[in-house]
Amino acid sequence: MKERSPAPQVDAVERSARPRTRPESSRVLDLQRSAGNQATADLLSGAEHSEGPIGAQPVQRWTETVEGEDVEVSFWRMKKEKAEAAAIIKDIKDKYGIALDSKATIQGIKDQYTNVPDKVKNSLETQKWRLIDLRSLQRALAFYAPILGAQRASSTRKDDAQEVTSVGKVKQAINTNKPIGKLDTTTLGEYFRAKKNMGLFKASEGYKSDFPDEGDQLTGTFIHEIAHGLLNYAQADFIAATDGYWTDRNTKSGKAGAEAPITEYGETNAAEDMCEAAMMYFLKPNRLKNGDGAAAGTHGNPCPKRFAFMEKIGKDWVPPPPATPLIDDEVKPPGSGDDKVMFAEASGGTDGGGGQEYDIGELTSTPPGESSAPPGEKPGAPEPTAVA
Amino acid sequence: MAAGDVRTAMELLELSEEELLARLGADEDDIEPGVRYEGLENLSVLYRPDLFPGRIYLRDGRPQIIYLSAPEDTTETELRGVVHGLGVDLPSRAGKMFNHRVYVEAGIAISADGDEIAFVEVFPPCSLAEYEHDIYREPGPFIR
Repeated sequence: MKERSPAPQVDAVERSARPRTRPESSRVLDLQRSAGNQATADLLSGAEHSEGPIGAQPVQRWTETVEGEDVEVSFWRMKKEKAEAAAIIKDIKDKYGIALDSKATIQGIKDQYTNVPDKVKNSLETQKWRLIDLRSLQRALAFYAPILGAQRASSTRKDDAQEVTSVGKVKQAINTNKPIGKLDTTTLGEYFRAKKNMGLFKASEGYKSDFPDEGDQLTGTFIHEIAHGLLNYAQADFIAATDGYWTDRNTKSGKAGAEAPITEYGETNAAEDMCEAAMMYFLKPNRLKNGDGAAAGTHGNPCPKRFAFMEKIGKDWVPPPPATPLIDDEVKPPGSGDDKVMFAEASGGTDGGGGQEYDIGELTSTPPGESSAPPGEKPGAPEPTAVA
Repeated sequence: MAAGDVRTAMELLELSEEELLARLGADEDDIEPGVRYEGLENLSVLYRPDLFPGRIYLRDGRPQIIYLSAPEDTTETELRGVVHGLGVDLPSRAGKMFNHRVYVEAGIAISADGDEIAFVEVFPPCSLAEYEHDIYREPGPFIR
C-alpha cells in the first residue's frame, strides 16, 4: 500500500480567481483533485491496482476522523469502511469498556518515560488506524470478553478494576527510559500500566514474524499486550505451572529439560513468556500444545504445561481454545460455504459459556485488496521486520 | 531483602562450599546440581530461603554468583550505599523500563526501574568485559 501525496497547494491568486463553492462542494472538489488526479496518474503509470466495486482500480487511501481517531479508509469504499470503523469503535467501547484514544497512549508514554528529554517526548505523534488494525483489535478483545466491560462484573475478576481501558495507535515508541532515549522503529506494541492503556505502533504495519498472516500477527500483538494487563494477576501461578523453567519472574532455573517458552521472545522473562503463551493459546492452540518441532527445553518445543495453564484460567473466565477451521492452515476462503466458526464467549461463569458467531470474512483481518500471506506458508517462518 | 542481605552475600561469596554450609546451617542435600545461571553453566545451586534469601550458585566447591530476587523493603538508592563508584548501564531482562546497572569493581549488579528493584547479583569483582562475556546475556529488544 502506498502513501499518497496530499493535494497540491493552490496559491492565493489562483484560489481567489475561482468561483466560490459551498464547503461540502469544496471538499468534494478537493477529493476529486487529489484522489482523482492520483488515480489517473496511477492508471497511466501502471501503479498498484486492486479490485474495487468498479473493477480494477488504483488503491486509494483516505484518512477520515472517526470518533476522534484518524482512520485510513479506501477512497472507493469510503462510506462503507468509515461505517465499519465507527461500528467497531462503538462495539469495543460498549461491549468491552475500552475506548480508542491515541492521545492517551502518547500521555502514557510521556508519564512512563520520565528520564527522556521533553524534546523527544513532544515529538510523539498519533498514527492513523487501518481497518485491519481495528478488526484485529476487535478479534483480540473477544478472547478476553468474559473479563471485560459489563461481563467482568460476573466473572472471577470482578473485584479488581479492569486493567485495560483504552487503546491507541502512535507512530513510534521510545526505546529506553534514559536521557539518551529516542524514538524507536521496532516496538510493535506496549502496555502502559499507570494509564491502563495499550499502544500499537506503526512498526506493526506489515510485520509478520510469528504468523504468516498480518491479521493474525496484529491480533497476536493485541492479545500479548492486553495480557500484560489482564493476566498480570496470574504471573506467580504461571511461573509455578511451568515446572521449574523459571526461578522467578526474571530468571530461568537452567533446569535441564524444563518446558521452554513457545517463542524465542518468551525466553526474555516470565511475563513475556506468559503473554506469548496467551497469544498462541488463543490464535494457534495446537501450535502451543504441540510446538513448532523444536526439541524439549528449547523455545518452540511442545508446551502442554503452558497450554494447561491457559486452559485452567480460561475455565474461570475465558473461552476454551477455538476448535475451528481457523486453527493452523485449515482456513477456508470466505464464501466457500463453511464460513461460520464459533468463538465461545463464556458468560461470566454462570452457564459455562455461550457462543458468538463470526463470519470468516470478519475474522480474516486482511480487507479486500490488501496484502495477505501466501497460502501454505510455513507457520512461524521468520521474516525480516518490516519497519516503516 | 535489605541492603544487609547484599552485604551478607558479599561475605558468603568468599567462603568455600563447606564453610558456606556450616555458616548457613544448611546440608549438602540442599544443593541441587545441574543448573545454570545466564552465561554460567555447570553449576549447582543452594537455596534455603529460610536461612538466606538468595540463591547461591556454586561450581568446583566455590560460590560463583549469588542471586537476590525482587526485594520489597529496599531501594536502589539504599543499595548504592553498599557499592562505590559509577556503575555501567546495560539492558535488563526484567523489561524495557528496567536498567541493569553493573558495579564490576564491587561485584554487584542491580536491575531496577527507579527504586523498584527486580533483582540483584553479587559476584566476584571482575572487569566489565569478563562480566559481559561470562555472566551477562543481553536480552533482545523489547518489541512488545
